Amino acid sequence: MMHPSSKSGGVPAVAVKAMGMSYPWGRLVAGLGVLLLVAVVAAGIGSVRIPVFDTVRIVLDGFPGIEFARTWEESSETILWQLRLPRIVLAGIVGAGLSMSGATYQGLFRNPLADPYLIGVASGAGLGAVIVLVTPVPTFVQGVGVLPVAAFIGAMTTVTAAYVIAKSSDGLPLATLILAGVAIASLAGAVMTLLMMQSDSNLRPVFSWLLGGFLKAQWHHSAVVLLYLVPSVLVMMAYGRVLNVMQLNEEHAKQLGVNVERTKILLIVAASLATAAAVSFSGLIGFVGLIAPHAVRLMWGADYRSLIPMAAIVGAAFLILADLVARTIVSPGELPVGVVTAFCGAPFFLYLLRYRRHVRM
Amino acid sequence: MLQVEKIQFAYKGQKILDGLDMRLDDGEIVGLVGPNGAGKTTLLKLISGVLRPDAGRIVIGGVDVSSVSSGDRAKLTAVVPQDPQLPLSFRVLDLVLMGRNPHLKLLQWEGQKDLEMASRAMSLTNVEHLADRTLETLSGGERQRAVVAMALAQEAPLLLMDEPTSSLDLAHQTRVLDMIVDVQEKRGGAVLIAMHDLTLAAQYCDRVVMLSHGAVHAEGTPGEVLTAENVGAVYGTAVYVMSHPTEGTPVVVGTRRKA
Repeated sequence: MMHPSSKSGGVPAVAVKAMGMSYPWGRLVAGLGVLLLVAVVAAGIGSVRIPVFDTVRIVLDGFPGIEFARTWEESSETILWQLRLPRIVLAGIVGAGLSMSGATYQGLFRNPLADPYLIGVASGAGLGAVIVLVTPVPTFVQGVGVLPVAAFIGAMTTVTAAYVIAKSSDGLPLATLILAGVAIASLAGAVMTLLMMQSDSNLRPVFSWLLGGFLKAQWHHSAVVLLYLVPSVLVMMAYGRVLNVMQLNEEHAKQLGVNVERTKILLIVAASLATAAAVSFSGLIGFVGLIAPHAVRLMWGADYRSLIPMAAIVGAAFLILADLVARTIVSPGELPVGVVTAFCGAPFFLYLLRYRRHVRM
Repeated sequence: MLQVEKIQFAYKGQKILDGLDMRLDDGEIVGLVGPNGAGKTTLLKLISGVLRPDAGRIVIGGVDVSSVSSGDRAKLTAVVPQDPQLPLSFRVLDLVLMGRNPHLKLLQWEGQKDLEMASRAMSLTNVEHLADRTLETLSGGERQRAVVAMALAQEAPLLLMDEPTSSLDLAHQTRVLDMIVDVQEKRGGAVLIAMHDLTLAAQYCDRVVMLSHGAVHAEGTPGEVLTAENVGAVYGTAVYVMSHPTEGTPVVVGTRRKA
């Protein structure tokens, strides 16, 4: 069955074609270009329309060393820099963080249904937020908002609890981690419901937070989220090739030289931190972290080295657009962005399930 | 090539390997046989570093592997698992390149040398023409050969295989084993294969190591080990051993309880 001729050591055509075993820079740069375009267009749309050309010049003018003749309305500048841009930037960052974490969890747990909230981040953050919103806990301490801090602490507490429960002497069984996460999440959910039932205060802010939104976005929110996101992103991106090998299964990956336990812990910490930071300001926005990675997988394949950064770009663009819809469709009112993502996301996901059944991880 | 010395291993208080000794020389293909639960898979996992022995020593290529990192371990042993879970949307070439993992740093991408090793491995297992195909489009036999190519791309001198023929039909069984013999002749190194089929083990292996209750019951050439006495004692069932009409190797057949 062996072809004697195939013994030659030369590189065959097929391998030569695959010489592009390097970073997909073209795809990445094109993606970033589209993302920028989406952001600029979204910035111009709202109760006050700002022409795209003005938007670009106003944004560029804000950077040191770039000056334009001020031919635009003064109010446009205020609207952009004070209201729309902080919102768009935060939406982009949160979308990127949730999508990358979703992609990482899907790869790590080898489960297409995994999303960033799988092991309890969402309910922990929700409990933290509800405690601040419905109990006499002060909402501001020395001018600093307590809610994001409480949400972040809640999120990290549930994940840590799930981790501690699942951890055993010979490693971290991921199936146990998911089960522990689900159990702790329902416990946190029960406490949350109890607190809401007991309170006589208006529950609107609670629901609005639970569905997520960027209404109160400010520049420093993005700065704080980035503080956690940047190191997490670096870890997730660095482990792309290892995540590919992990698709085989843990034992096989170990036989291929992967330090499986270290990889699992690093990636869980990175993805959980990124998710917790993302939801602490924006609330629990669903579906982005589930759908953006799947969309990328369908378009460009499952190589995690390109999947993770591309999921970030797609997630960011998707959430910026979802937020655009959320703030314009019932103007002057506003929808929670989670409603919009679910409205677009759920049918898209059902479509995937129905017509792309053969889609593999 | 491989020395296994006085290995003890227990799982959840149950002794699985009890003072097992064996060795493998360069250039050998050795069959590891024994009934279910005799410890074949456990022994392979101990050698590949997935499990750690409670006591005893494993030396591969002169290196005591107890203190070697998982990355360096993977440069010494490559494994073809019994039932590999494959990411089906990956191409054959992607899969084979995963075998280069122990040779790559965290942020390093596969280079010219890795592609050369991968294509050599693919040509040894005759899957070169499938390099661009995704795994979901392959037949069972083709997937098996792709997995073997991945293991060969690791460039490890010791190849471990766990029941490589158990899910294949008769023709594919001999094809895979013919291929292993061919690969071994071309690239050297040693191969340790856990097998249920004693007749196939006799046909293809230079030596056979027969395990029983976590220790070596018999070891030697197929003719020496695969006798009716040995097989009958270890498997606890009556067998007949005949001679292969053209190859002369032992052919082992069982007997019905109720005829």
